[in-house]
Amino acid sequence: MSDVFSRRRFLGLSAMGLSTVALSACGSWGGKSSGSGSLRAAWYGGDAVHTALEKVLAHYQSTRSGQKVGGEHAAFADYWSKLSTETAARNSPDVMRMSMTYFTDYAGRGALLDMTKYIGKTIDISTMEEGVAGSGVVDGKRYGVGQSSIANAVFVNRELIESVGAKVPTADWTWDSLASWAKAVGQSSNGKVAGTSDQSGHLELFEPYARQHGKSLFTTDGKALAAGQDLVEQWWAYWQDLRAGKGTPAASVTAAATGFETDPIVTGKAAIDFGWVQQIQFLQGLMKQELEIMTIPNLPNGKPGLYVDSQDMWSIAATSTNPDAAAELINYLVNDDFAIKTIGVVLGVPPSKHAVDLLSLEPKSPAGKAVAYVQGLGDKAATPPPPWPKGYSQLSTLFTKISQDIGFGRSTPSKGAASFYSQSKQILGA
Amino acid sequence: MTVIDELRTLSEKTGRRDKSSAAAKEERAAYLLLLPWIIGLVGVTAGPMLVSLYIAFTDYNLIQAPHWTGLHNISRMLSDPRLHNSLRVTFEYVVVSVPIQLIVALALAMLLDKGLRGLPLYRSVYYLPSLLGGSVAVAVLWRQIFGDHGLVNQLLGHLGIENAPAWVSDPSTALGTLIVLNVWTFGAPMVIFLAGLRQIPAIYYEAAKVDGASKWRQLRSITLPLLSPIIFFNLVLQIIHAFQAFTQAFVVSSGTGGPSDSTMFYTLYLYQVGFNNFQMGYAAAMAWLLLLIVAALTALNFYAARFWVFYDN
Repeated sequence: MSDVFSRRRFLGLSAMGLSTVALSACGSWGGKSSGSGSLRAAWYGGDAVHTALEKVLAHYQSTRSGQKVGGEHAAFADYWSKLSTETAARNSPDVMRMSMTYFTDYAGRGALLDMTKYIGKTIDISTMEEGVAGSGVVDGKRYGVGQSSIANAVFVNRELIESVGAKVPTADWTWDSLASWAKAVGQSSNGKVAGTSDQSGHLELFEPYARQHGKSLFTTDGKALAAGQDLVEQWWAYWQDLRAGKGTPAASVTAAATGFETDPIVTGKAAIDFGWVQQIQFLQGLMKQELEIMTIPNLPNGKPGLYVDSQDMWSIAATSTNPDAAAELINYLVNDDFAIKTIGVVLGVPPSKHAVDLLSLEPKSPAGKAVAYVQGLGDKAATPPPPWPKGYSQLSTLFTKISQDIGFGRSTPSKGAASFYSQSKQILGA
Repeated sequence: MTVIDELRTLSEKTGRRDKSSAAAKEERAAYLLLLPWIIGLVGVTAGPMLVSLYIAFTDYNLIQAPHWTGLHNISRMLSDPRLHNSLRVTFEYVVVSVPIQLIVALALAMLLDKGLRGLPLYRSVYYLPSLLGGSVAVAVLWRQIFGDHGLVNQLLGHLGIENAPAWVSDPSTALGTLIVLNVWTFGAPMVIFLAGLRQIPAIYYEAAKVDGASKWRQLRSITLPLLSPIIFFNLVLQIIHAFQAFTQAFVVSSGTGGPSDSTMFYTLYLYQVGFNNFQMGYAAAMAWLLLLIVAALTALNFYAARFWVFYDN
């Protein structure tokens, strides 16, 4: 399980043990700015993110006398509970880390400042990759500046595959060849190792699948699904077939994988896994065998489904009393050499060539592999979709839930797809 | 000069008034002294409750001002399958876990009432889970114990039982583990039972013994009737408590209520709707429905109590 969803679970788990520490550490959360010159910046993430960003903020303040910046942070899930309540109280941090999962929920409801006037002046995005530079725009207005480039990827445990006597798939694989290969791995290992982790519940992966079929996931206005109920049904039927043929672990193993530690590729229950490319760092940190990166399978003659954009952004609160200083801070975070070096890859693959060169990553390191993957996608990636619509996180949760209903035999792909469609109308139309 | 002194002086000045007037004065003094509490009630409890009642009839996304949608939230409740499922899960949890918990609590209280040596120690030891059971730490522990490779499955493995279910990640057993967790927190009702048992005069048992009544007969004819007010008290309290269960399901399912919504308690769904989906209006309506359900059940309990609760006076 490796989508945004499990990323936040991971962040949640890693922070859970430290929650008391973290809570006392971010005591300034909810506090008022202590003067016109001070800013509040907030972000979600694990310890590595906190350490890096605090260091960067300290440096920023030391180089700009009189500019005070308070840093506030929390684990992903807690972050959103706090941010929604703070926003309701008109007391949001000036600068905040915004996830694509909630981006339109905030931007579309007037909680974020339109930064258009700062772009190209205070905030320089000219060195960013195209997909990232274009992220953060809703209805022609700029509400976020991308932090990293990200794309879907497949992580491969070569050693495990070879140990069960199978061959690592080649880059020209298709969904059908993945299915027969995964089932063969499962059967040759007697069900101990499944070919792939079960991705049936991941809307983030269903999107490139739909794009490969020449369909977008949502209609242009974001008020409805565009992929078609039959395609959803086909997706769930595909994974059900894999599950039945031991191509994926059992449904309960998939349901138990709520963080990176319990991810089937980490526990050795699956030989390949899907996820956002930078997650290779987190997964690799938990296992001995080396992971490699591949592109996701396609259809024979399918369209490119992948895309490179930014799933995490820096945004400014609409209620900020000091937006000019906030914009300056954002520019510093994405462009300053010290900031780039200190942040490294903890927020994802840096979005510009300049930043990548500056980091000069070891190509064999997980981060180096992630960077190489994103830069080498070429024509396998197409134009990114518009920002996910309002209600995306709710829809994604529902997608996972129905996939579990099917996995545990409480529903069927066709019933599940019908139910997903009817509930999606209520969620997206709202 | 204290308020009371001042009031007394006041009342002395008008001392010729009749008695009912003096009583009224006293009443006023009482209200004056209650004022801090009343302000708290209105400001901290009643005020927000009224606001939440208003929000229940609006579409409120926490960011923009709420706007009135009339009965829309209520009609949505009627057609929300996840809401219906969460009600089913919650009722199942309440109906199964509360009686078992009370029976365990009563049984242990009766054992401890036998004049065990070191009773205070046992009482504390058995009470401990009540303090811990609602905590995040124990819920995390629970997740480990009942995990795929957790303690329970290791024990079963030693007993030769393979292919044991992955308790917390299988929808057919996940709720069961939460019920066990709730039953385990029997300490609070147990302590209350113990106090109740201590109130029953030993003379009844002695008389019964003389008459040759068996232990079972003594339980049925003396202990249970005399304890019935306490049982009733515990029942009402634990039902309300169980309806509010949140932490355990939140932690054990990592906040998802999964797998397959099998641990999606009503409160957990309410939380998701309000804070993850930005539908605070709908969440407020759900909160009021929960209040009505709990109130109705409590009323039903009080009505039924007439037929089985025996007050010894």
